[in-house]
Amino acid sequence: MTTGAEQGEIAEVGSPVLVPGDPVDHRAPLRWATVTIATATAFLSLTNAPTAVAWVDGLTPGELTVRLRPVATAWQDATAPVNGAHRWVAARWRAAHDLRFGDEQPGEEGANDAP
Amino acid sequence: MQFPTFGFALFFLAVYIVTWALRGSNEWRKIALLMASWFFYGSWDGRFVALLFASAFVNWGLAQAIVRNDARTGRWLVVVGVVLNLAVLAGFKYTGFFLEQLAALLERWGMGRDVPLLEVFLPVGVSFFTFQAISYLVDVHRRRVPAAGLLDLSLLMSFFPHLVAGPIVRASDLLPQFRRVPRLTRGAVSAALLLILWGLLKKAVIASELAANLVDPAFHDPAHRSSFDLLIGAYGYAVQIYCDFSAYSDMAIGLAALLGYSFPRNFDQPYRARSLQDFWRRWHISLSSWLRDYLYIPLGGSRKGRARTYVNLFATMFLGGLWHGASWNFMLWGSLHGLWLGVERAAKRRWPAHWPAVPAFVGILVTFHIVVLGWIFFRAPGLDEALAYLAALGAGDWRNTLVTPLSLALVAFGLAIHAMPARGVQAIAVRVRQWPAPALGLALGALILVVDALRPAGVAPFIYYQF
Repeated sequence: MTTGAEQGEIAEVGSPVLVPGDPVDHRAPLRWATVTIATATAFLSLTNAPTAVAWVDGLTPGELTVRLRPVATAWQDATAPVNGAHRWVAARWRAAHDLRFGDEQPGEEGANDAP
Repeated sequence: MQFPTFGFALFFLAVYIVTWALRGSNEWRKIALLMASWFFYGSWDGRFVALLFASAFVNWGLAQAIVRNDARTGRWLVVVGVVLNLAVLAGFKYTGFFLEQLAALLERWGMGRDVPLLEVFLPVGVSFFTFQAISYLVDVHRRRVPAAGLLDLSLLMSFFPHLVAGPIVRASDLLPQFRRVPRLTRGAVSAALLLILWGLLKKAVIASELAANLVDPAFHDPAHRSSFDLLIGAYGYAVQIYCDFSAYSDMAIGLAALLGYSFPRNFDQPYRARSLQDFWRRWHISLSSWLRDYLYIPLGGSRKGRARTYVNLFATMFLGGLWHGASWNFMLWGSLHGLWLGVERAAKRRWPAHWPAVPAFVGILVTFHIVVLGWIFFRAPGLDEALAYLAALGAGDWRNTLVTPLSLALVAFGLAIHAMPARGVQAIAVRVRQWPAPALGLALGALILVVDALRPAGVAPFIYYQF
């Protein structure tokens, strides 16, 4: 029988989250993880408010969405000055998206019109 | 509720806060995780939660009976358990297909009858949790794992990171972790955050972009595409399915690690495999090792003679194909892999000792193209469509009507990442764990922002949700 069957697959193939030990590993790891996640969340809530509005718009309409939408929209308006980075990256990506070698037609519409 | 969505991010933040707030009591922590997992699963369809609970309850009862009875009775109880689990899988997954085939057969024999064609709702992840339950019963019977309590077994089968698309985490990996409150390490957290970010990029950007603008149009109407379009489309699907499925595994492993649990590796740069056997040690490792341990080896493996080994290999891969779904295409896909594994084994056995070994790059190229050939059957909606794709691919029209610089670059990138050093995430995590938390949080936020800006509107479901 194989190692995986006898002792579990982690013993056989390892896990990507098991990294070689270091003293820093045990220095308040929960607080460190929580501050990291909280900082990333705060950063994204400032710079990516339109995603929250899109999420509210995608919810099944109801009492909750009626209450949430003005809050999300107001937050989007308040953070508009710092939303530029997202728009800038998206615009560059769209430009890359529109590049062509010739007159090829990618995408679903292209599938119907193709020769 | 899908991983790369705003709704899931809110859900996960809530789970993270609650479960770590409850670290004083392992039992309450596990109850909270179980409730969260059922909420997550119920977001698809509330009825599925009842199925999941019923499955956990029955398997818990069988395991308790196995340990309380002698070996002979225990063996019969395992058989009953395997049959029950497979019946659930068959009922949801294969009934419609077999009735369809029966109706077609009766029609052909001039005995056309109104066979009731069922429109069966397939509960997401049913293939994953039934396989998990089967291996649990076998492992309890063979005394590899002790029988678990109802809470632990329910959580093992329902734990939301792996619930709908794997990895198939064995009881021997997860149950010991459930017995104590887990502890984080900075290294594991760093690797987890990197895996989640890497998974987001692969799914939301690479897989989604390739699906919408290269692969779907190529497979939609292959007869009206050039051979060049279809060749790059097939390579594109190889990259898409890798980026899609490995992204799910990466995110699942990362999310579980943030809650304190380790999952096994599920992908290991599969397109750098030098043989198909090597490929299956790198692709969906939790399924291939499951099939090896609970099907191939019990069938006799390579211990019962040459002919039987080939039959066992073929049967294992054929059933592996069938596991993906009831269709002729999946059966052909599995058969192709089973046949080629046999060819490889025969070639290895007959290879003259004085001949030089096959160069590594030849092995990689041949294996990759066998895999891509299989993917055409895997992706095409039906057998006729797959054959039409292959016919058009061989037509010899090398104009480009579909491939853009961006899609070509993404295909190249998706293949190039297989040439990167192995264990890259762990190597970066070793450095990242030294960073101050605010700096890491800002970097993480900025990179997620970039990924969000690159992704198309809306994210298609993961390919493996359908299995």
